[in-house]
Amino acid sequence: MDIAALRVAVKPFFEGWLKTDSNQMSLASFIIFICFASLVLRYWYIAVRTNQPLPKLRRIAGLDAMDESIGRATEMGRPVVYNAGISGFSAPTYAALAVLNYVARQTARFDTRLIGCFASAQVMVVAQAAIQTVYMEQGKADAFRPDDIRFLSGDQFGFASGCVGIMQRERAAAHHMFGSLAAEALILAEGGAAAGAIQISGQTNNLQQPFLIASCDYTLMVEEVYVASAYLSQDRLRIGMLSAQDIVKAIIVVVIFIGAIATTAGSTIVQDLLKVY
Amino acid sequence: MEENTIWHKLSNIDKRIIYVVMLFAVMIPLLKPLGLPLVYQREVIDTLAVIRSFPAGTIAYMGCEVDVSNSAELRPMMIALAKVMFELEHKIIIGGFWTDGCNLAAIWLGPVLDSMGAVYGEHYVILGHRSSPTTILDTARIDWIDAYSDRDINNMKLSEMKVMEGLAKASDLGYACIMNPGSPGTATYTTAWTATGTMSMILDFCTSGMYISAGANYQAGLTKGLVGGLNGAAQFEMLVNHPDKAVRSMDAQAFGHVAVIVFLIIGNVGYLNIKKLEREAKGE
Amino acid sequence: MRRTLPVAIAFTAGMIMILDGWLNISFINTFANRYFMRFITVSSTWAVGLGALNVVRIHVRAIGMKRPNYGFSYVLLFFFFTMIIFGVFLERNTNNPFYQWLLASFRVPLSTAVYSLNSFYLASACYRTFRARSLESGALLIAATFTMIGSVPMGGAIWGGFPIISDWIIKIVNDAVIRAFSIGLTLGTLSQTVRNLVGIERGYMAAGE
Repeated sequence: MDIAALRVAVKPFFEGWLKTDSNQMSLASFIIFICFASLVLRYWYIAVRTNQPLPKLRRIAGLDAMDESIGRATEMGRPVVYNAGISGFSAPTYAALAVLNYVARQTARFDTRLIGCFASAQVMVVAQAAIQTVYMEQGKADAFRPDDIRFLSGDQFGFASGCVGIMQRERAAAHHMFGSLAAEALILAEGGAAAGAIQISGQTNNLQQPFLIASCDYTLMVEEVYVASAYLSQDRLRIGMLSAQDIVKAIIVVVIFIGAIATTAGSTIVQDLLKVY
Repeated sequence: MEENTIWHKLSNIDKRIIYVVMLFAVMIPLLKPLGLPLVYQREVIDTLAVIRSFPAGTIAYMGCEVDVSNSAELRPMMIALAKVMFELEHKIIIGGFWTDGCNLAAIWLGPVLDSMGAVYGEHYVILGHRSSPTTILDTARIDWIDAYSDRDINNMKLSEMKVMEGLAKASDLGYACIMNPGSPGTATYTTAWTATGTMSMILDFCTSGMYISAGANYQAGLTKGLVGGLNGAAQFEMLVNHPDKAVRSMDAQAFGHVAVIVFLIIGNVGYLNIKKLEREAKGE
Repeated sequence: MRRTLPVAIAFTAGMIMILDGWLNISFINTFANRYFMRFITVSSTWAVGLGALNVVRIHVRAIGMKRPNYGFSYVLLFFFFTMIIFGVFLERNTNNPFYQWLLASFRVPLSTAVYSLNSFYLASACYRTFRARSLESGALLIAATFTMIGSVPMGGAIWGGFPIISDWIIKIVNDAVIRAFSIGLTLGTLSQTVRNLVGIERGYMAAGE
């Protein structure tokens, strides 16, 4: 296949409107994006308009343990401490807020105290409003304590010190860490362990994963955080989107596999096709 | 089966004993260094070779994405880097998006460079902290002075400084050395400059925590140099003939690692013997 | 309206940024880069003030209600207002010598001290967790041991093979896994973002289910 000729033929169709990058993979990544968008629409239709069964989610021990940890806190009469990581509004934080909604609903139902620790003022404000709404929906508006939703510090170690101090003073029975954590992950986990809390972590920084696996009772492996809201709610629409995500992942894996075999055999066809524009 | 055998004690050592042992394992070599020899990694040697390949007068950028918490690893790298950049007569542009990055650069690098005969504004400049790295780096691709509002950390005009001559936009840089403790870090710069084809000569100076992902980027060719962790900092100091804090701290790190491994072995010896005793008790 | 308006705003803002990332349409590129990004910077700066108000409110209430350990609230508020006064209102702002002294004498040692706890916590966490309970945990234990001993000069001094094995584990095995995680993470991020944009995830809206 003459890749150079293919490049020349393809260029006029895209050069007016599609941005390029130095890797020359704009078209390949645009096609993946279109595939993903199409699959999202397809599964949206299936989830909302039909009763077609959707793929089952495999068991995730950490998420199954959420109810167990809240139940433990309820029985012991001690609070649940929830921290949503140190980054501002980013995808992991949105995932953390989705889980926080679930945790707030459960703590409102069981009259368990929920303490939220936040390192981002923006996230704290939004989380406070979200938790208050959840409590009102559960008919427990009086049980909501605004002072329990705290912005501690924008500095990661200031935040870790504050959160560990809260866990130890309040003798937390459960500690949930979701979102994006950095070097303070181990300090938070060991602080929670010293306070005797059952710990569930779901954070997206894969460099901190080993520390959390070593020190938490349950750890969600990196992208399982994004599955959490679908898993906990069992909502068809969310599960449908996960199916779309997994299909795109499978496509990428197949392309990587074929590319690795081809490159090992001395052919650059897969790389050339990916870099056609 | 009784639960106070030696194996149970080895398997359940009090945390406080572990902390005390770690304290002495790290403190004693810091006070009395042994001078253990370093093993030089290929990537550190190649990174220095890249820096040395640029001629006198090259404009070099140092991204001081540092905080006091990661200063143990990144400060020695910054100081050794500043020294070699000045010795090679490269112009040093120091910037950063972490809150304390530029302040710390002023505290650490200012005295070092001044003692070597560098003149602020002529040989080096500190741009000062800016928030919103994406906006600044994107604007710097087109107009560097506009990106930084023509002001440095002391509110002096950048356009009037001799060190800024020849730097109109990011592509005028010869190379950029980015301290990489997390985010913002090297990924911020590669996204803004390398992915857009502006400037690809980015060298990664990362903490040990970031070494794994930085290594993947270096192997993929996204960055052109890699110096990782305290080990990398010590090697870099030795290679530029300015041994300092990192070299002195390597012995402490070595003994710290050995202490952890000894505890791992002790814990597992205790655990495996407990399992053996349990199996024997069941077998009876 | 309470649910529709935030979704509409999020969708519109998200689509502008997506289109700016993919397409070369000048008015979208200009709007996104020149106005939108600056708006994001300005609006997020306001949130810092909200966080500060939250801190002050909680600690003033703690003092007023004489909650346990309320003495520490006095300390926090004292340093909080001192830093604000010196850093914002007085001469030279954050270059003020007293402000710099406060940073260097309090914040630097405190941050460093907390960060250094990692070494002790790592030792105790490793001791507690790295037990050869199964084949997988045994493999993890051996890999951790080789990596730790190979990454320090002492490892090379004991046996030349330690640095080579450590390097292989980090550069070949670990890199492959990190890349796999990165691909999964990116797709998960994409999926999460799309769910936010179209209003499937409404956790950030306080609009209820």
